[in-house]
Amino acid sequence: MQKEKLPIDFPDDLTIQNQIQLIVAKGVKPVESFPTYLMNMYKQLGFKYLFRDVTEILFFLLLATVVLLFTGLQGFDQRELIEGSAYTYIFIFSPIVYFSMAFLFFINLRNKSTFEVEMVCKYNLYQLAAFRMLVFSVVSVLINTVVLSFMFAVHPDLNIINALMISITSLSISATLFLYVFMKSRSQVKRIAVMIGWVGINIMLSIFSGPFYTIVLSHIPFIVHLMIILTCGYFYMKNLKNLIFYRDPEGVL
Amino acid sequence: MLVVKNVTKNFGSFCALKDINLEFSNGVYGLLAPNGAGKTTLIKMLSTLIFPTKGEILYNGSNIIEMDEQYRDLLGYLPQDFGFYNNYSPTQYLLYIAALKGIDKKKAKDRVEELLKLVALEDVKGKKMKKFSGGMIQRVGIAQAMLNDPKILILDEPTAGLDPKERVRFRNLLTDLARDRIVILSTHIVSDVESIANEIVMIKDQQLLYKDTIQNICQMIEGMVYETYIDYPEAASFRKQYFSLSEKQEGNSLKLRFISKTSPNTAWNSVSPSLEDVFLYIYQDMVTDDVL
Repeated sequence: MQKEKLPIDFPDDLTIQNQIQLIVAKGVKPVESFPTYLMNMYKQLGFKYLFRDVTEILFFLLLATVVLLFTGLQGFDQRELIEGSAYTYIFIFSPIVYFSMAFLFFINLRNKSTFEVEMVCKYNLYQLAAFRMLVFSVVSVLINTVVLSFMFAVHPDLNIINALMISITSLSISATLFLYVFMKSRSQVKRIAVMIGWVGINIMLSIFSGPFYTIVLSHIPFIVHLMIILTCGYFYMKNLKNLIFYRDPEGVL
Repeated sequence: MLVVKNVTKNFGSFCALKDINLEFSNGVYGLLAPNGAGKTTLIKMLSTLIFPTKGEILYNGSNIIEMDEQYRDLLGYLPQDFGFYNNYSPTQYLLYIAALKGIDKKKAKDRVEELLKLVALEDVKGKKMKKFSGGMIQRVGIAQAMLNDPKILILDEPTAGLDPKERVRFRNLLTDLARDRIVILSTHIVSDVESIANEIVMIKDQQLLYKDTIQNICQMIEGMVYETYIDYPEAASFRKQYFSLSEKQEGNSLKLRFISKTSPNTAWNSVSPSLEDVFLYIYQDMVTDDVL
């Protein structure tokens, strides 16, 4: 039997290029940058749904701020301030606001009865978490700054720039550590241990190696603070970005 | 098409499902097994809430875990324990879930209205859900699963808490929906799927037992199901000899529906087996009182 040969015109270069572009445009999903992703998520969800639990957040924020203000303003006399105890206090307790908000969101995440429904949506709770954690860290810096300003008003001998740098450094290290542990471990105990451990270990260090700990904190150069903040900031943002695509090997339950 | 390929799921040393192979195309699939047989594990893997230990699940050839949000975009899911926010009204809750599903605000409002009408909750759309009955909550759950007009609708024990009228309405709704999507309905209540499922999936001892039409599954015990009347004193010894499917008091006698593999007695009437008969026969070592 003789096969019939169908003549097919070979397309010209322009047609080939157009077709390739069409296939790529339809088949390849454009990669969104992290800021664009967050912006789109904000546009879609808005403040109302990103911070659905705003009342609880405000309550925790207020509580943490009041505790910080009360202890920060009442906790030191002039001598302690000169000896540097205030800087120890700032270093240890600066992450409190961040921890309280992270605790509220992350610790109860799986215990919520709505968890399963929210986790199978396009924007699941981990993606919301990335946005929220970013906002929480900024809010924490702002609240810490307000608390430090009040402390400065009451104790004018306080080196406000040094205090601010210590506060931001402390927050950068602790928040990065918390997010790292969250990404690496499913254990709630480990996550809570980071929070308690940060405060506990630093208090122990300040008690048992008091002068050394205080001197180190009070005399860290500005550039070192800056380097720590930038390095932690880089890893923090990297982990936040990873949180969007976070996939536990066993699943989310 | 949704394909479950050689899927095994272990929780530590416990094997919940072993080497499962399934294929789903458009239609209603009833995932039927007693509690604890592994239905919810399979459902959660199909919903990407847990991942297989071995094997993979593919949708149109792509791994659903790799598809990530692309797959979740196609998915509607009602969990067994449907949680909600007490202080939300159905409208508020559905708008929230619609936002998480990435549905445009304007479209979401229209869709929520449409779904609330469909599940007959339009009169209470502004009322707080904490005042709702179990059936009403379940209807909100069904509505949220359908918000994104999903291509794959997975419902885990969806009729729990629904009254008979609501069950009928729900079955009709699913039949309508299944024309152009995959509907997987997990249940241990045979009547939920008997009238609507195109195919039944049965799991036993962590493995897939059957995936077939109701007709073919019932064929399995064709010629083995009988009904007869006996006097009460004989009941105990009869039950020891034959596997009793159902019993009903009629006058002074007991009407028994049972399975026998031996030659029939002249007093026995051979009857066509139902899905419930097969279910009871297969899971006779597992079934509990809540099955029927």
